[in-house]
Amino acid sequence: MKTCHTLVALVVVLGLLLWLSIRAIDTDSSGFDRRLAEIDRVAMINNAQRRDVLSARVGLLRDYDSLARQRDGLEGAIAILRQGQKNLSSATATIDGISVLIKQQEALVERFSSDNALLQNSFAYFGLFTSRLGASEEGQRNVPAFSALAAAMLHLTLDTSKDAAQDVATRLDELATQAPAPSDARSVKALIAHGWLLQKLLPEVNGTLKSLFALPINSEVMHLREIVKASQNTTRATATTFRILLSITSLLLLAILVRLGHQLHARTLMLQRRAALEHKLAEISTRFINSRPDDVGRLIEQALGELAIEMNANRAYLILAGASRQIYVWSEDGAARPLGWPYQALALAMQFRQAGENIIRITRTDRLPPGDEAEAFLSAGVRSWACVYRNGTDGISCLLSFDKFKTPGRVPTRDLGLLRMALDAMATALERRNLELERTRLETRLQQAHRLETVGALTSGRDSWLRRDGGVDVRVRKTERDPAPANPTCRRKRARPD
Amino acid sequence: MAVFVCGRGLAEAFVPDFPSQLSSDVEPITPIPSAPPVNPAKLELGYRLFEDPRLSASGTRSCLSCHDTRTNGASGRRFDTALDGSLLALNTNTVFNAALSFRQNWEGDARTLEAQAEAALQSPRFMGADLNSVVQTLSKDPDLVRLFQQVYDGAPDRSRLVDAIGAYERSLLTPGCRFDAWLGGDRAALSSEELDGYQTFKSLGCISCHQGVNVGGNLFERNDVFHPLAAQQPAVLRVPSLRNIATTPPYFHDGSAATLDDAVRRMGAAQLNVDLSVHQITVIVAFLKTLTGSYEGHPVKGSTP
Repeated sequence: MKTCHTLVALVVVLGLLLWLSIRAIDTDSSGFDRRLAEIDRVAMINNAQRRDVLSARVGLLRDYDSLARQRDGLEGAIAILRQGQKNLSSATATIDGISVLIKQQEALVERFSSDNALLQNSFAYFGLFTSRLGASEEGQRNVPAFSALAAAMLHLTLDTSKDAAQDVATRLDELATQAPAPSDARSVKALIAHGWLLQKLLPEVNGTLKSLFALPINSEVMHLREIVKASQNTTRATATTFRILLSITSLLLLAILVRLGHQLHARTLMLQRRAALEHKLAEISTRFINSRPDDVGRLIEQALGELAIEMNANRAYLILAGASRQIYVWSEDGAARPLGWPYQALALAMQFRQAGENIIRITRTDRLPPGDEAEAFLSAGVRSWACVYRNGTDGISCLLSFDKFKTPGRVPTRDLGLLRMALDAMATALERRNLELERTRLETRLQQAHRLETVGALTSGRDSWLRRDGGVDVRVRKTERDPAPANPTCRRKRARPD
Repeated sequence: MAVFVCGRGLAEAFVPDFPSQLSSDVEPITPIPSAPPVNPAKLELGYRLFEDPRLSASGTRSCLSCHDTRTNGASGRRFDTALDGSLLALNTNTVFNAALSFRQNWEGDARTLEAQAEAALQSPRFMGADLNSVVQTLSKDPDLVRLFQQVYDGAPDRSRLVDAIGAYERSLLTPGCRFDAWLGGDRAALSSEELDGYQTFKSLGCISCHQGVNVGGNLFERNDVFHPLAAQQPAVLRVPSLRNIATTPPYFHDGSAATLDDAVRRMGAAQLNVDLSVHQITVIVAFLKTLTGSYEGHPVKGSTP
């Protein structure tokens, strides 16, 4: 039953272990890693886009394809982040905020691209025409105006304030009012056209850049990263808790397995002991079968000793109740029996006996309720007591009992069940011995009767011989050779010796 | 952006001064990449849908009606006709290399090929289709249903329909043009005139907007920076790709430039404030003709009006 309980506990703990294992490993670590990677990708793409925007602004970007790819990359990363953060409301709100910022940035980047393409072109043309007109021999009178315009434009590239823009506008107006040399007319016209475009675009582009770089995308991305990281840490902490529980449960499982092992070991030992006991019982029974009547007493005492050793008892005894009360005792180290013991055991067995298995077992006599029984055990020095018995017409007819007076101990019920076989074997041996003794006694009496009969026959034959010749020897010899049928009356007497 | 100055007249101001060894690593134009690998069955499904007139309300026109992939991916007409027989407001863009543009349509109002396809299918001017009805109709075609099942492991629906068309359009790239070969290191791929045209194209500033893998298609721009170019509306346009430009006349969003020479001349004036010389126009056009690639192993060719 205990093993059954242990097995149930084992199954329960295994189930618990499995559940804890799942909870301990289900940290969505790959999901967190993926989301963190996407967050880092957003930051990286955003930085790359801003870098490319600045490169384009100074004319170092080869083409605008990278800006388009970055737009797609940001959208893709945001979509992945949305997908992975459905259950985290704070992260979702932050992602929504980043998404809005990215859309704003996208619009700014597109506006920048459009303006910057014109800006770079007009810069090139402005430089071209300014250089050419400055070198023109026919337009020398306009050189101060060209130089002033170039200086104002240079200032505008550094300072896109309204004043600087107004200064450029003033210079352009001044140049427009001056009559160019005929050969320079087209160049001046183109210069003014590109100048006006630059005067308009420079503040716009710089304004676009300022707006773009003012977008707090990176800080929001970092905020999102912190949220996801915090969520990851929480999940990891939970997983750690489950791992601790898992470890505890593993130890519990180990304890249960050890307990189960012990129980199985104890069961094995019990079975071995039981087998040994059965073997011993068989051996004892065989000895009884092959024994001579006068050896039965010795064999019983030997069997008691062997059984006591098997039962780890200090004393064993067999009591045959009834008129011809017999008692056989084996004591460890030949210790003397306490006064009145083990007859008292018979009385105690009468007290404790119950209907059923004919087994009495008291593991700890000191734990018996106070009373005569406890006192009896105490006075006899018996600390554990077990017995099997047979019921007779007047109560217990036969009792096989074991005492432990050194250390208390428990005798397995199954072993006691086997001891009933020993009790039966001993009781049978005693009965057989009694029968043998009775037979021997009867044979002795029969022989005595035969002698008497022979004496009687001799006596009567001599009388007859005295009366008739030659008959005595024949009759006497015949009677000696085959005494039974000689006298029917005598046979009947032998059949009923009592 | 370098502008080279070599004196005398404006027409001759931008004499090429490029280093003799050019590399695509430093060029503002990059070769067309290989088409992304796609399930062949998906391409087959996309093509079947692309040419299927059941996708229009009238059942008389398909995507292929205006985007003829057997020629230039568009039509040769200035304006294609709407469902009601009237003319559309804008010239039809080629579908070739559309996947390389950052937005679709002249106005750039479609962010993806799928969005463009869905809008075109449902537009009462273009296809006028009710996609739910189209899906129901297609669901009665066992061959198409089998293809949908094979590709999507499911029956036809709106998103799968649009996705298949988008996947097919994404495969409509035209690599193999001579200019890409030159970018790849084949110095004999371009004649001196064509190379002169490329250098002029860059030095004039055309490259400011027409750059990248699609030679355009990656930013918006006003169409009348210095002077009016064509129809004023839309005022801001997605810069068109110049890939296969020689095969897609007429030009501009209103199809008002019948020839490439005219388009180049007008672009110089309107967008750069430059009156291009005949020589400049000639060499630029010569360069632009080197941007004609191949589709399915055949050079892209012009379409008859």
